[in-house]
Amino acid sequence: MPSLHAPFAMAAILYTMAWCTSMMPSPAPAASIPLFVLAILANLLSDAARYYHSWPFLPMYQMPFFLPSLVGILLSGSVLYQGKESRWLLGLLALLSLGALFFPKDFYLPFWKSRTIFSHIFFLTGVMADACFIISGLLALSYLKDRGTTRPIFNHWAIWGFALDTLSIFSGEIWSYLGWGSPVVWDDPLITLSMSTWFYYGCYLHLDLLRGWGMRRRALAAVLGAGLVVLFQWYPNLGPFSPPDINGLMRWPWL
Amino acid sequence: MAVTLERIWPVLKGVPLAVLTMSLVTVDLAAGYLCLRENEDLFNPLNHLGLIRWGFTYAAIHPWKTLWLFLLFVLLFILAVNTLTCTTSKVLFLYRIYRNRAGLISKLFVHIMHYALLVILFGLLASYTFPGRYASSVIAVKGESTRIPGTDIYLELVSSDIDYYRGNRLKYLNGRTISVHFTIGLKSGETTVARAIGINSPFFFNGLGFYLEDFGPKSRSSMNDTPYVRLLVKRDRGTILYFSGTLLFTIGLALYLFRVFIKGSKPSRGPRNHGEGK
Repeated sequence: MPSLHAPFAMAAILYTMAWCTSMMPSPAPAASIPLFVLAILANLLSDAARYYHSWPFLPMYQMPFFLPSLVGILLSGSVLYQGKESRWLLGLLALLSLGALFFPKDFYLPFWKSRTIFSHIFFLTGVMADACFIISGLLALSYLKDRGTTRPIFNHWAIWGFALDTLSIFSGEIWSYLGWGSPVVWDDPLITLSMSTWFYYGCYLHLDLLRGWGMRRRALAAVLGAGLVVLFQWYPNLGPFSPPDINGLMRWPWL
Repeated sequence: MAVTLERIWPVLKGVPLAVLTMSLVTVDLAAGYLCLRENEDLFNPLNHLGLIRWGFTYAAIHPWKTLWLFLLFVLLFILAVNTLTCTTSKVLFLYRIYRNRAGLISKLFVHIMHYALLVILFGLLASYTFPGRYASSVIAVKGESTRIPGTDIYLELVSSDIDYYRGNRLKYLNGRTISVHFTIGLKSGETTVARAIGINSPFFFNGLGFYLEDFGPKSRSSMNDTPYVRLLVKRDRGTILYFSGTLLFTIGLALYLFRVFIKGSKPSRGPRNHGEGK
């Protein structure tokens, strides 16, 4: 049985290589495109393997492994057309994937109460929301760097993130009600962080109604929001330092 | 009194208060994570004891570790009052402006979400303030009738259908349960009924919800292969409210997204009125 971590380790190496080549002098950055595409494919293979080994149950604490693939796919246009955010995106993907690779959470057996469509909607829309928030922050950073001369599309990503986060929280509410008879499971600390992120972006969406809160300040708030998502959603899903399983990697035919 | 209200009213219905409150809720919930992470057992009973009983027992013994939760209730109360006053004044304003013109409905999409949030918060308050749980758990086995404490309902396990996993894909589950279906017989006075229950599949009887908490046997090689189910029985007074609010919020959100992304309107809500209302 090949290791579950092998495709993800490959993805992390490819993301890092793509980032490094993107910073080299021309024409090396062009090589970052095929490396990025291969990294996304390896990452998607890792996501599929994780689901394959847990379906119909939910893969537990796998958010850090799914996040880079979703951020990469949603902003793939920027890398493929060598947009100005492409270096930052590749750097971010390299850091997110290396973090997940070297600090994995212990392997948790799926539990039988996760056998419902609502648990999967809760998880997948939650990760998609986090990806949208991070992209919003990245684009806001680019907007600030350009001194507001570009279109502030980071706002739209924040709105999509908020909508997906809401869908995730509502699915979690239905799942919690069906499984535990209560709309909120009070003893799960991660729920409070999800709610915290939701309220932050609820607050963010009201900033345009405040006097003195122009696009520049809202861009700063979007950057802060992306930082909070990394701190509140990504970081708690990591475990202690643990080097990747080299023996498991070697069992894959391409290695 | 009238002068005080005149001064407070603009603050109470202003967006700055909403932004400040939501920022504080963000910080408070982050603090709640730190408190919860080390003390999960302290907050677990809140799921079934209800806020009042939990507050006078667990929270009273550990006031510092539970302070964030009570602060959260205060902040949510301020947010609810702010949302109600702000949204209502804005809706009335929009009604006056757009009464005889097209476009009123699309201006109200955001406010549907605001009212829905209030319904959800009120439903959660009703649910956790008056939880009406009848028993921490009721165990039902075959051939033995068990009375649910505080009621005249007797229940009994009628039949069980347990599927055990066999295969290579989920090796860690080999020989262990993958799905369960139980039939529970219920008797209340002269009424006798049979209801099916499974994982994430509760049933309702006489206004009570029955949820599967635990069951057995969980594996084929179990030492004790006598089937049993442990049920959580509770009456939740907030269910209709918080699920109605959830549905309303989803509709409002879908309409808002349609307005912003399909029709191309600006994400902001109508005319700017800095600090005058949402």
